[in-house]
Amino acid sequence: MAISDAYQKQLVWAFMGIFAMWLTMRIPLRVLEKVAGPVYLLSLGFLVLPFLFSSSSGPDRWIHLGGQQLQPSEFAKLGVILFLARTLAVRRRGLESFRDLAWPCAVAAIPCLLVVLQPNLGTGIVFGAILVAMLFWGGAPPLLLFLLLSPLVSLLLSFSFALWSTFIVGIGILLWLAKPSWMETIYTVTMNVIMGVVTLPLWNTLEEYQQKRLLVFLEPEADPRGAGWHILQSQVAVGSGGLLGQGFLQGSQKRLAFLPEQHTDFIFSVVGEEMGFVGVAVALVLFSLFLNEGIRIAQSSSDAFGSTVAFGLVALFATHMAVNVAMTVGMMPITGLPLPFFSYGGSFLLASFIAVGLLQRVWRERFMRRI
Amino acid sequence: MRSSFFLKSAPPFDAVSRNYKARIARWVLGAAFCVLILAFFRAQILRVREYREKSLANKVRILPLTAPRGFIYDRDGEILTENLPAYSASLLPASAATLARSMAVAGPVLGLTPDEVRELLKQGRVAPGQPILLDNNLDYRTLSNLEERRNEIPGLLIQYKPKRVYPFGPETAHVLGYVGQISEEELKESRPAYAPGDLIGQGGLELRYERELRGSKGAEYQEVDALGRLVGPYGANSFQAPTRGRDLHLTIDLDLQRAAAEAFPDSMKGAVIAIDPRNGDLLLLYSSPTYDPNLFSGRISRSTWESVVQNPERPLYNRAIQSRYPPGSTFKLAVAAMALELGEATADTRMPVPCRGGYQFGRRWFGCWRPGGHGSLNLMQAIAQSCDGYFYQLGLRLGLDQFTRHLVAWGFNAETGIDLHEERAGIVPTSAEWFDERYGKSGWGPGVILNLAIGQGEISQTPLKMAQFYAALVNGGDLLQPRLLRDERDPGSRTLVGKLPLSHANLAVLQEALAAVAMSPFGTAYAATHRTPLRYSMGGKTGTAQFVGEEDYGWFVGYGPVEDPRIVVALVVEEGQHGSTVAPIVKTLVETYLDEVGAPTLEALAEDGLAPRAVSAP
Repeated sequence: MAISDAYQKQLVWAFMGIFAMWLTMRIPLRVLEKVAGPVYLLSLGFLVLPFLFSSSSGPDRWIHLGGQQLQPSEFAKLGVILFLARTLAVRRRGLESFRDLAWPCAVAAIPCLLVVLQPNLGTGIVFGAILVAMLFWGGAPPLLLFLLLSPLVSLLLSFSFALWSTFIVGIGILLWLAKPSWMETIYTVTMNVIMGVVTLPLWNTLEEYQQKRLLVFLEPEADPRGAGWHILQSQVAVGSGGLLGQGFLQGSQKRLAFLPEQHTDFIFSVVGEEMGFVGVAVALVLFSLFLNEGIRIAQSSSDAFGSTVAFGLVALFATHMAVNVAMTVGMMPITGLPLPFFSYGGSFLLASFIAVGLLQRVWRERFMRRI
Repeated sequence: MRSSFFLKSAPPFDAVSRNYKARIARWVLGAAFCVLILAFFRAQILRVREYREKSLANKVRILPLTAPRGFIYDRDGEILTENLPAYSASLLPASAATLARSMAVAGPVLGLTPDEVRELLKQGRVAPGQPILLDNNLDYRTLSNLEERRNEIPGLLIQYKPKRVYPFGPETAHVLGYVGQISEEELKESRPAYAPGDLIGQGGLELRYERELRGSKGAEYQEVDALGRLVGPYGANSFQAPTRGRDLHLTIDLDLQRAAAEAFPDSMKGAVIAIDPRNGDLLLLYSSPTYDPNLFSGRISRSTWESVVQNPERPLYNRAIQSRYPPGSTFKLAVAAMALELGEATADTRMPVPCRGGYQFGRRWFGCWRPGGHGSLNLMQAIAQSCDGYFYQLGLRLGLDQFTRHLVAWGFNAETGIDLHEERAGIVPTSAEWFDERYGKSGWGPGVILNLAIGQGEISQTPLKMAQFYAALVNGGDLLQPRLLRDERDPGSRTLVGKLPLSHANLAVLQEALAAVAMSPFGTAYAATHRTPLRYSMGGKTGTAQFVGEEDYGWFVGYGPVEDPRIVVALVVEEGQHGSTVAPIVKTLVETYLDEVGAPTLEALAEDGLAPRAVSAP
């Protein structure tokens, strides 16, 4: 498909998205909560489907529906948010121990695992971010979440034994002060130790392109024509934009195709090159206002389900925006996460509009308290 | 239930806790916003210059345009080398992978061997971003084949690249030298001016005047996309035309050059050089065997290269200025000149012992070339008949000290300073200590001077040096720096590098003797120069260089006309020749040149009642 045709397609998707948003706005939270379970199961089904019909080249990220391609993982994100919100809302106990967290974690972990196996590491990260944010909103103590996530920190630090051992000592002091239950203590200690030890073998199980992406993120100059090429060209595009940018449609990095994936993953680099720092700042302010609005909706809704859904959606948008934008300046590895309302891609645009519809529904019902 | 404050769960959905959590969430997002805005500030404001440069380097391809080399003309304006339009194929690939892919398609079309392909791929790694020359002389068939498959060869550049041609090929090879692709070592020394694949002078004048001949490159600024495809010209001055190098106007005479080439069959090794004794202009420089410099202009195959370089006859070797031969009897003039200068002899001086086919020195017999002997001769007759017996005694009279002092003073141990890098200095003993260093104090005896006096032994000279010396003998004693470039502004100019301190009378004696060699019936070259009637008055000296266990080398240094010398020719032929047998070649060359310049013939002189000067020697 030629790039010049892409905007027409995207326009069609945008109209479909606005319509879907309008439809979603019309669905009461009561109904949404009821269908949350089936929607979740359906999205799991769609995630499993590619594995059943996998071709020789491995499972496909796409589902082909009458000539249109749909990316089930985009809708799975919404399914997980809805079902997690329901799980957290109907709960009668607090979120004070790992046992309390186990079920919500499982809800997010299953689709997360399925997309990571596709393999789509970026979306997996989004699921993790949504889970943590929603647990936090649901009332889980931040320290408990930290203990839960501490093995991940160990994983990142395991490449340097000195850093890792310092971290382990810090964890020990924290455990001694906080005195969590024996189960949490054992989990924290064993998982951190295992992560510190198994990381290297685990590293070797990563797909080579994933390894490269992660490595190149650390040092983009190392392999300028290989995987580092994309990040480097994106940085060059952004950096050459300067204060005011090269002007709309004038960016040479974009025009001469030095910038890869310029209508999808690296679309924000085009903003940087053509609109400059001013354009970037305006875009980031707009993103912040948008996210702030989402937080306000979550904050003002007295409905447990609705409020949690809203915060989950904020986490979804925030993760996409932060990871994608940070990637264009070389602060993040290439994860392939699209930028909401910017990147080309029908499924994600549709899902984003549906998410906005959900936010609006939550806002509409903010004064209703259902029990 | 929980004792620890840290792990206390808040009541989930009251407004207070929501506000509290929302505040935390806003702080987190605010922090992320700040980090991102700072990152963009750093990239777009602080480092904008660096990234703009990179962006520019990305999209602008600077295509060097080869400058046509300067032409080279002979003294009459004949073109000796010029440039013909040719097309070169180069690759300027975006990456090593594209290079390999392009090479896989282009290689077979161009008929490259796997070895050559490997070599070119290596070149691509050594100098990335530089065009890699595949072939700089495409024929039309290959050109159209390449054009046809252009899409399969990303990065293919077909450029107009002037090709160096030498219309007279082997005949002018040793004067002009040749051009070849610059080597990696040469590239390291001269990086900015040259790029891989450039042609550079490799010998002769092409090397000596490389800086003048090469001109200055032009450049084409092109905008390219990420795949290296041309988008269009970049900028307002996207095309900067190259400037052709300076032309050279030589002193060389093409007709003479060609006559020399004709006189030398391929099988005959040797060299001939000619100088205008009035100003040092080099009229002729020919070395045999020769080679075709046109071979080197294109992409040369290894086998061709080896056939030239590894040829045991060493065709690349410039025998006229690099080879040092024992001058033999041609050196007797130097000995005679020394004796005259020092007053050790006059034209009529006879030696105490007449030549009886040699000379007894101590317990050793030094033979003369004529076993029957010459009898008693004066100096002029001794030169004309090349009597060794006479010169043994003259050498003894000079003594080693005076002899070696003069050798140094007259530059027989130095280069003449011709504008060719290949020139090598002659070898002579520079003092008695020179022998001590070589053979030890007791390793040599007083007999060495006898051999030196007839141009044998520890003495060897290039044909060029001998020509320069003889030019001085006939021009009044001026040792001139030989030159290949005409002085356009002042054709009469000359560079004096030394002077033979001889009186006019003494020089006249030597000139008369030289004329007698060719024109007196007793002269050693009389028979050889009179097989056909002599048309111009001519002088000269034969020489035969002897080697132990090898055949003789024949020398002849000749000049003409005797009254007003216009040309001095020095000739050496290796193996199986004598001075008297090679003299006809010199005669032909002298006549060729004098015909050309319109010197007065003997016939014309006789009609005018002007008898030639020097035929009187007995």
